[in-house]
Amino acid sequence: MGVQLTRIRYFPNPTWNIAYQFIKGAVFQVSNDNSSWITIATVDQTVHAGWNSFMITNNNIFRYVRFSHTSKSKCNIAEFELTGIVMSGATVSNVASLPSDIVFDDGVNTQTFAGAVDYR
Amino acid sequence: MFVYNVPTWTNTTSQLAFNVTLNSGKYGFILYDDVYGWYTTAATSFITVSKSGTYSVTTTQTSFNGGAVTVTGNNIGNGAVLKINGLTGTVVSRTATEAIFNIPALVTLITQTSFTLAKNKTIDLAKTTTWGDSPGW
Repeated sequence: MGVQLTRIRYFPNPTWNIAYQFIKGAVFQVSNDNSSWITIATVDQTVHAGWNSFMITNNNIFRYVRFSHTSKSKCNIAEFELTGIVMSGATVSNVASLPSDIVFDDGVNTQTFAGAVDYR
Repeated sequence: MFVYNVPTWTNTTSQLAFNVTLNSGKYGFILYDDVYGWYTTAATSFITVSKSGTYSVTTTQTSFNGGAVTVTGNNIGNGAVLKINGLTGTVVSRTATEAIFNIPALVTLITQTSFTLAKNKTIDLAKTTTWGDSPGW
């Protein structure tokens, strides 16, 4: 599972009235392995109180999203919102037919039915 | 979660016994009566109900937008799930001998490009994410 992001919004901590000044330089990053991260947005001098938005143009699917703070910001955001499309990580090379296994779990035992569903 | 009202039981000084019919699955439980209230149970107290025999599935064609599939077998429980390409389908309806599960839509880059299966929307982070504020969360 992962997400194709189109927008990130955040709201600096409203109880810390200068929070928006301190989170400048913090970044929003994405990853698929929780190890190597790609920066897709950076909080710059335009940060302000209230909702702030970034439109995301990277069309790839990512499993992890994080807000990485600076030494001063201490994650002082009150709200964090992602907009996009949640997608499966399954490999689909042919949309004409995709036989898929069903893994059935009754709560105790698991049984696999190979190719039991054919997406078309 | 459900409440089962025990119609009849037998008991000794150290044991209470009654019958209950359960579907397949693993159940935690706690006992209550009107005299003593809630009884203490060990944290490891579970009832595991395992169906004998096997289940069967009718091979199904479906659109990439999802559909339904029937699993045949006795006493399929509410907690039963199936996974297709890592996506979870849950019970839609059930009888004593079969259960119908939804087949989740298979949204990928290529299927989304071809069929526009999903809409761009705010993601419900409470349902889809694990939160943490330190490495390794």
